[in-house]
Amino acid sequence: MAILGSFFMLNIHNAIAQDSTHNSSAKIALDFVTQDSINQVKATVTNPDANGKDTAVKGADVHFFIKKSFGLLPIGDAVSTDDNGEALAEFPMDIPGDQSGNVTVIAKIEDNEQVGNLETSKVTNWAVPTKTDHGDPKRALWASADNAPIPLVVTVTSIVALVWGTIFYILFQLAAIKKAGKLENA
Amino acid sequence: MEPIKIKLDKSNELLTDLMPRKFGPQGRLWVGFLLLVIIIGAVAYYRQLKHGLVVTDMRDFTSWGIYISNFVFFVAISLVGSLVSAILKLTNVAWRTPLVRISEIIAVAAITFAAIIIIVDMGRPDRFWHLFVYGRIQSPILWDVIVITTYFVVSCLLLYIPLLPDIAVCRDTAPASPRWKKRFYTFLALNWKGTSKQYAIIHKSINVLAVLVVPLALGIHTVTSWLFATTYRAGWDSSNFGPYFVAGAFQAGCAGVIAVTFVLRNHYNLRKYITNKHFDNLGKLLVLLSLIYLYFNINEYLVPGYKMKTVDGEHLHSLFRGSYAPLFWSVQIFGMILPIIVLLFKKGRKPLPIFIVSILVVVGAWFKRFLIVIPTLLHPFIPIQNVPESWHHYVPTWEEWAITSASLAGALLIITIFVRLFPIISIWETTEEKMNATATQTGDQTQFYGA
Repeated sequence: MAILGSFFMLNIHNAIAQDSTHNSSAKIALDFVTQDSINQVKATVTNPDANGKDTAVKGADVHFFIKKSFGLLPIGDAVSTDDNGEALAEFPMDIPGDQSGNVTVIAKIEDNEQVGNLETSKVTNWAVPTKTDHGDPKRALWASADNAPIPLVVTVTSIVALVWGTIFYILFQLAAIKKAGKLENA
Repeated sequence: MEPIKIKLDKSNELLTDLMPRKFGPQGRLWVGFLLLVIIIGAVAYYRQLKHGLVVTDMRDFTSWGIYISNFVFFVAISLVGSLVSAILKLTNVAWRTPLVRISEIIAVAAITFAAIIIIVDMGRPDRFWHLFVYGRIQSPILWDVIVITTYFVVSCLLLYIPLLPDIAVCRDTAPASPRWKKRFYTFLALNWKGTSKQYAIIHKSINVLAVLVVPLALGIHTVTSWLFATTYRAGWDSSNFGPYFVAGAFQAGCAGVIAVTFVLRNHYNLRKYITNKHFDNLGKLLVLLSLIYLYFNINEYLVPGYKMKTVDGEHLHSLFRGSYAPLFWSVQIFGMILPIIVLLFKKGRKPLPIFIVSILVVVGAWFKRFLIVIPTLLHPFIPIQNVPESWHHYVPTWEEWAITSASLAGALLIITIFVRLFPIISIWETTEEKMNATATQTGDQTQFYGA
């Protein structure tokens, strides 16, 4: 065993890699690996030989990203593939994901002499789950309309009632003016 | 209460002097010009509806452009209604009578277009009703919607109720009028016969409205200031903003009423009713209001300028010495300092000089609102990196200018049409003043109201 007291766990996720390879024959595959409690993203780059058998691509620079709402967040610098065609990058522990902790990881190779442009993505649940607060039950200025502070509701409602009550009183006075005119006609 | 007797024949010079008249060539030209501006604005608004707010220069930084500064201007101008018809009434200022209706129609026209321009500023005007259905009572925006709606209704009532006896005069003294016009006046007159009871009701109603409109008017401008002051933005984060806005509104509104009064006085030859003394008094009022506004300006700019906190300092530099400096100093000097100096002298309070000064104040007031809204937005509280260059500047597009001009033209058109249909100086209140001043001849056989 190369690393004492450690264990090696290969964690292959069920999610299906969405391969959008530009080079029709070369491939890039993503796996998620946990080693010594450290989460790692592994990209394996292969290219078929003359017999159609996949062979490892060495020395290709792989860029890892996490897909965010409005762009791609890089995970460290580019990592070159080793003799096995593998590139490993540490997955940060504090990346916020969706409510289940899912994020999409993207691996990219750009303008490589052997494989050209390659890109793939895969979903992992290693991110920190985001807890959505569905309404603070406390009454506050920043709460939803249903949870407005009672003193504010009472104050605003009282002022509106007082002012509009006076307006309706004036409208009744207009009706009284009209009635007084009718009586004069009679 | 004694009914007010208004002679309905040609011997009553008030009728010949004050009844609405048909437009002459100048009037038709003026209406045509206003309609042209409105049509151009309507075309621009059609483009905005079709393509969205992208036709404006409003972007992520300047999310409120000249629509909102124009809105604040209209709210300011509308305050004049409460100044003349309520504050001067409650303080027993006798010379206000010929100015009351002018002030009220300015207030109604201004508050109408303040409300309209808010809808124009919305990217999805079809969702306007969401404000009422989904509004949060914690939000100053909802308070503003409530107070503007209320002020609009109260201003309309303050215009309409004192107009009733004069509508009845129009109804009964225009037999040659088209039938629609007769019906129009008859409908609006509410069976007005000029009885003691009817006069008692309108006197009471006017008094109630005068008391009601003062806090409401202070409220509308204070709440509008809170749209800004309840944020942390540089230039807006100020506890001074409420009174600062109210003071500015009184100044702008007073100047507005002076300018409109001057035009109407000259066009309709109302020198007998609106005298040089009125302008002199309005001038004194305007200089007082300008001094109060100057005081608040000193507080608003000098105190933060003394401290020059990081973000405030950046904002103030852009006003004092930066790209907005020419506009800022022009507004301060021509819209405030110069009027104070000119109006302190009696000659400066003659009709023509005070008219010119008032125009300066009104134009200054419009640009002042521009300076309140725009430069602050161009200095985001949180610095944002790598933003497009266009976000750092705001130059209104032709669509924005056209729509804004149309709103101003619309407000002037409301005033113009009102003057065409109704007496702009109250006939019955002028008669009442005369009754109070001299003994009424009771033996006259002429037809009277309430006789």
